[in-house]
Amino acid sequence: MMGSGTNCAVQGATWCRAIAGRMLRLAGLRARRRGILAGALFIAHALAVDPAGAQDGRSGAVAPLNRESPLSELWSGYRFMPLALRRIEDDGAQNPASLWLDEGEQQWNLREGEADLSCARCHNDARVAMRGAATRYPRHDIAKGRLIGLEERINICRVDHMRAPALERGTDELLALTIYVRRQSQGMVLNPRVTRREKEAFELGRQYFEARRGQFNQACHACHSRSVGRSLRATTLSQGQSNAFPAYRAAWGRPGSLHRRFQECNKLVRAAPLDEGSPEYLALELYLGWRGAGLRIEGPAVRP
Amino acid sequence: MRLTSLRITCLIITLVTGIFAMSAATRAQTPSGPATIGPAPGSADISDHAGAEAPPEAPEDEPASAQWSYQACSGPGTPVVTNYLVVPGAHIPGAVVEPLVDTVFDAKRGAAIFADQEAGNCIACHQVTPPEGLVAMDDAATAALWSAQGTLGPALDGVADRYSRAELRFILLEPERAFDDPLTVKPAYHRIEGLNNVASACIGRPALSAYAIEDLVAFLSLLRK
Repeated sequence: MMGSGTNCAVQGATWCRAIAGRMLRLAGLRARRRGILAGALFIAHALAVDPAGAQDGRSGAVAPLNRESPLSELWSGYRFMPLALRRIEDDGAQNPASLWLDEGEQQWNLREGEADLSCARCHNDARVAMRGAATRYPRHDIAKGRLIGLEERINICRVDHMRAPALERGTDELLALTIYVRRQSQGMVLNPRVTRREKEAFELGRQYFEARRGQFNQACHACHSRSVGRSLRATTLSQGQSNAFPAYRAAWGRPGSLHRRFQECNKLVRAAPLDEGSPEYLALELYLGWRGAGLRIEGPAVRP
Repeated sequence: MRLTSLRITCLIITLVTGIFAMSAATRAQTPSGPATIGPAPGSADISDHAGAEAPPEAPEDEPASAQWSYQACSGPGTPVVTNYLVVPGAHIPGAVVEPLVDTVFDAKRGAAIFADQEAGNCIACHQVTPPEGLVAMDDAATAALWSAQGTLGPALDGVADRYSRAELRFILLEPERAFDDPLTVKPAYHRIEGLNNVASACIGRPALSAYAIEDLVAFLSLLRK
């Protein structure tokens, strides 16, 4: 165990983890123990020094963490973008989404509500407190008894603890704060949990992804699983990964949430879009997160 | 608010990124972009058939998220023909020999439907070299429309050598049966039933009218090598 973990750390190679996973499977270990071992391997992998940055899903493919994932290799949408857009994303000074990132930092420290609290009053330094948070969303919330996304988590804090009104979906304030919180997980591996609690939503998300819809009768997976790399007019079809959202889109002229992106896809196939935060979209977000687990959180991102 | 001034800065950056992201080619693909109402200049008129209806207004009870160009679902959407006769084809499982409607078909109009995003938008997925004289390539907007050809579907040059007119008609009507692939990405362009989650403005309307299907078949049957 230690041997393969160390090896992974040295090589930083995803195939290494894949082989190790296969060995464990051959050893016939029980699912739970396998989960723990996979976790240890995952940590070893996350710590791995990877100077070339080849296994980040941007310049090199990543193996999916969940071996049931229908994709054999994972690629961030970054790989399918025109070179000029990639440069804009990579250059902090040029990246338009960084404006919202700065705004998010101010939001974090802003005291609001009847309780006169800011995020920072309870959580202190976001770089410490929020590190890795975005890798685990959407997740089941016990109090709500259902799946919640990062945006809703932020609003629960605002309403329950700050006693401030919830921020509206799609507003600059909520986008900025979400982008700032997600930034604290940049480069970390996306890996939302699918336990018994999330199972029902997960299946709903899988069904949503696979079902044909709209006047064009097209399923998400027809383009984003079966036709990846082909082009739709001038746009190259990506794997439809969720690791970079909220992202700045040139077509929007501002950042938008993953759910807003879902709405755009729905419109393209002439299906009825749902509202941001709807149970179906959250379920789809969970399914995409599970399917793309292994990719790294990218942000603030730019997308065509 | 500080973001207001930030947005102005952003707008400038957007314009720069927009040079390629929102180029003339992508404009035709982005529904939120300037809507292509009616045919592109210099191309054949695709809505001059008798029976074409005025576009309906967007319904008011639609959620805010659903407000987008309804033009796409309000083209010449009538009539809908569902009682066509399918016979076995020579190259694929089926063929529809009789035209869906009895009218004069125009390959030039078919070519326009092929390229127009609000009509067939076939060019989003297929590559094709239109036969001489069908498309006014000296018109900049038309040339731009034809320059961005997708690769999601196969190249269609020589498609008329591979399939008969009746088979081409069947492919447009029932791609799943024609290609024996229930998961095919190719839409059924004249279907109104058995669909899921259709945008309210499009319910009961096929993506292409029976006239448009026949115009397209006329265009496709000219694509010989």
